[in-house]
Amino acid sequence: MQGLPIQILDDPFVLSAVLAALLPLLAAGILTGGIGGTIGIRAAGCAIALAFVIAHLSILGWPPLPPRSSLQKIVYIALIGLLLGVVLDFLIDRVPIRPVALVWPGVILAWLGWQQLHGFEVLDLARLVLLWFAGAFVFDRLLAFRAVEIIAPTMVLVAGLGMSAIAMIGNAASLSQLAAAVAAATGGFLLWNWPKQRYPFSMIALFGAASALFGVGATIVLFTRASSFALAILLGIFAAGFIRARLPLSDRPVWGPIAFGIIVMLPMLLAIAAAFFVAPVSTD
Amino acid sequence: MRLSNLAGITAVVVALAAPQVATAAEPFAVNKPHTIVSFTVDRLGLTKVLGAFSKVDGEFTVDRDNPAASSANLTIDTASIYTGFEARDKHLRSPDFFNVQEFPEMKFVTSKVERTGEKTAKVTGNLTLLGVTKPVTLDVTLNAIKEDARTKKNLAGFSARGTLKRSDFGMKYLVGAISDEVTLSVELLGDAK
Repeated sequence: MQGLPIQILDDPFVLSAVLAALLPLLAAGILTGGIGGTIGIRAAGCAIALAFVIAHLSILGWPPLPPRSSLQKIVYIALIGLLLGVVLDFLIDRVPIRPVALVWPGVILAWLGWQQLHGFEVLDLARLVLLWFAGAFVFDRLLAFRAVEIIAPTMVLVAGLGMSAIAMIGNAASLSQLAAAVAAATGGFLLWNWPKQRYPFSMIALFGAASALFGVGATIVLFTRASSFALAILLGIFAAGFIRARLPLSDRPVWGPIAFGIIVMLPMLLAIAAAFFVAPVSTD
Repeated sequence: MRLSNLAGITAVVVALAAPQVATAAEPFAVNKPHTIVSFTVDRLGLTKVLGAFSKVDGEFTVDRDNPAASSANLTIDTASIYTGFEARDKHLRSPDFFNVQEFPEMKFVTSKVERTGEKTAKVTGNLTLLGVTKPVTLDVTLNAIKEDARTKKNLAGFSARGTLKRSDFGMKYLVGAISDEVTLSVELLGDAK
């Protein structure tokens, strides 16, 4: 057993998850203390994207600029999403956010998947359009519930966990780690909000986290053999806020969170099961 | 991958050995069933993992009068990778390594041939992998150029060895546990066109 803790920290999977979970705790505290006031509290949201970026670098190293592969593009997508969130946080009362949330996933997809359109195959185009719809749905649902307790970041966390498992089953280990990093980073942010909410899920937090999550998810769909069907089931997670609001128990102090927990976890478990059973059986 | 350069080397050798039959650049097409690009990487410092690409295509020319003018252009189907273990092959095809859905081909185009011996040469070429193009140098040996008894056309056979750093091409996943340095081995057969 001697040296076991060191062996665990040598594991890149554990390291990325631990890093991604701890960094938001540090970053949110430093940003809030350093900047102070309302801006500082909003800025704490960058902790999620920053933690994801650092986890990405620990897994795959610093990507070139311009990036060549989709994996390398994801880190820039998270950073651009973060900057977009900063701008939107300052303009929140002056510009409509929903159109941005509709267009931004399309921009991400265009950058990641434009090569898929070389042959203008109908199936490739349809896949990109469906992915765009999925991304717009995710951003829209997060926007709709971002101010309702911790519903939005919880949906990101659970989706990240599910995506990580699906990518792992689909033989895409680094993408599995990146999805886990999104979940861990959001989890670290959520720890600051327990047991009492201290930081809002600001535009910075939302666009940083959702951009990273969608970038990882789109790359899994476009460039791996992981189950797209299972990933589609994961979208059910983002309907959890809507369903919770319509449950009779939703305003109860104990049963409300329990019911939400069940609603948000169920699609994740179904998606992982689907990925597991749909995955082709190895002949070796 | 410096097979093209190998072709150039072949040209040099042929020019020296048989000047009486010297001709202009002689084109060869890759003989797919008898050409293979293989590699080894160190895993955890314990063992070497052996792998290969079964689908290699392309052509090369051998200029017997001016070997430096010989050229080669090879394309490797990255999805054809195999290591004898299907689960590992799937992982190698994923974005963690060869990212075959985004980058289905790897290319090697020769740029320079330097003769080092009677049947050997250093062949430098540009290798494009994962969208990154970098020079790679291979030590190439001309095994033989013989007439195919069946077709009465020349066959040119080369062996090439070299190394590269996969991180130079952006393949950085698990560098450390799996060595950055990759040893390449190429066995190339060409059919005269």
